[in-house]
Amino acid sequence: MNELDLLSLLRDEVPLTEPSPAVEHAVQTAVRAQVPAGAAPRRGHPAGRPRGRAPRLPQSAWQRRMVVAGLAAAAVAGAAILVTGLSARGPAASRPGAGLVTSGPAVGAKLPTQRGLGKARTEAQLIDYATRSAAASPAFVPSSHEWVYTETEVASSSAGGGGFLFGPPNERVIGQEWARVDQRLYASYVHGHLRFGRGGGPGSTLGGWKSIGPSYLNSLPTRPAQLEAVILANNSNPHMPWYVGPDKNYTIFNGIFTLMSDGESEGTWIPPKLLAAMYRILASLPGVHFDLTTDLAGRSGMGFYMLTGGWEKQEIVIDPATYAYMGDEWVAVKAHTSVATDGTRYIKKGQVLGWEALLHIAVVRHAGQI
Amino acid sequence: MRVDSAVSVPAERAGGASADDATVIARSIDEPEWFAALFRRHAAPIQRYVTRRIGLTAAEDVVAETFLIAFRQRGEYQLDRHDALPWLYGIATNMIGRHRRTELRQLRLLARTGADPVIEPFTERVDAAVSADAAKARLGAALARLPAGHRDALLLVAWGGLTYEQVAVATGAPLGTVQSRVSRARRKLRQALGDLDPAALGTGPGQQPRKPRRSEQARSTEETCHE
Repeated sequence: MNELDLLSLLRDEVPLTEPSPAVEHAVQTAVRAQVPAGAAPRRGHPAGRPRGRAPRLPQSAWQRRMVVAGLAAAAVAGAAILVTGLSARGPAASRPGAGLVTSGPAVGAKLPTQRGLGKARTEAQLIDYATRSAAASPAFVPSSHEWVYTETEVASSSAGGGGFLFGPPNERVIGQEWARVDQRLYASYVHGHLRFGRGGGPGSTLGGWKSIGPSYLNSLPTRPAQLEAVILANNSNPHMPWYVGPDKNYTIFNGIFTLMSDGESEGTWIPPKLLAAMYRILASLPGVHFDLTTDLAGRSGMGFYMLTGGWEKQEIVIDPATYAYMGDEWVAVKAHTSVATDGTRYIKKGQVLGWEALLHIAVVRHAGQI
Repeated sequence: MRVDSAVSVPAERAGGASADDATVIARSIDEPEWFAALFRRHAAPIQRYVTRRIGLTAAEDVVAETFLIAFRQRGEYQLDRHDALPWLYGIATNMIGRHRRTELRQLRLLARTGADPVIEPFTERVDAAVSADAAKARLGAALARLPAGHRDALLLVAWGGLTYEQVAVATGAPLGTVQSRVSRARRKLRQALGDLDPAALGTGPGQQPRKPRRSEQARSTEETCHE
């Protein structure tokens, strides 16, 4: 029984029943209110058609219009592309290019300027360049109604997965999404149309981070000891769901990993000075190792990693040229036999368990801009 | 669904094979009473999904609001989608977002005690056996820890029964993002369940839930690492 089966048990404990009469009545009332007038709500129109009340077409003409609309949508590249048949390690063979439809101006990204000091070649240089660059860069806080655009590449396997990849990472999925800075909305292109969804709002938290809003993140201390204290204070309560155990070093590492991997990949804007502070922490945290690595997109990166359980490498990858987060990777450094609720799996030494790359991140004025 | 004398149900009167959801919605634009057929078809699974997430009390308002919003927005429905259930799940999930604190509170209670407050209204006996409560406590903790978007995607799959493509429709997220989110969420759940003895499942009430541990060192005597 795997984790999805266990979730199904939880669902099945709630009976499948009709809603109460009160719910039914509320819906009936709304329907009844429109029955006499029969006012037709305005329908969406394909681009170029004038807005207004939808004409009442004969069924055959209506069906033909749907077919045309469907063909037009299929001709536009979707916002996610699955690329298959790749070698286990290497960049994607193709990526969505400039053909992606945008609703706003083609060029509208506001990239906060950060003074680059060159490509770092060692861990010490990375720390030094990231810190000095952040200090010398103009202060930037995106406004609540701006959007964070992210383009990510995620590895999957033709052998499947369930919490980790069960086979070689021979497939890629590329996603492009916009998240509004106040976390109220997010958007993506689906079949050529920009679609919006509702986010968690300004009160959104992430693991042990009390907020992922730019004001809060900008307010955090940048002295490593103070920042470590904040992370530990937010993650040391064993009664909280994000508690990962008594190992303080891993708690700090995982807290940083969560903000970068889950946060930035989902559109959280992390101030450069906070990134630099987290790198300083990682550079001196016991149990954290540094290496040079290549990310999922084939880019050279610098990695901070910890070994957990003696066999699993959990790594954050940083761009040595921009000092920004560029992805993460989970790899088995030893062969491992895993006995879990869904049976036994034999994990090979070197097996990639998870791999993601953040290809691009920018603050833009409107969803749909790149 | 009871038939109100002022609002007849065209699909029932028509007899024969039922029209698909897209047809029902299209017809409801000019004949609103058609919308009742959509409610009749999908209200129960939507109710169960919402109840599972935020409990019965809050679920009633959310289910009602889901169908009212669907009714108001039926003119914008993409008629090439024959099944409206993903669309309805998407609206319901957005509504659940307004009750996020309620959801997290229940998940944390489940995580701490192994007792599931959501199923209390459906449990007749105080000492009713609660199956797999050790695993449920860990699931509760792991679910509460997930980013909202990951939790939504995962639970639309697990509790809504949607495919990844349908989750993409429901949430408006690209398919790749849905896959990534569900994969990440499942990884965290596996980690939370990682060292749980499968024999511990179904132990009943009274079992103290074990705290989730990141390490898998103590999972089983069969654990072996090789050079």
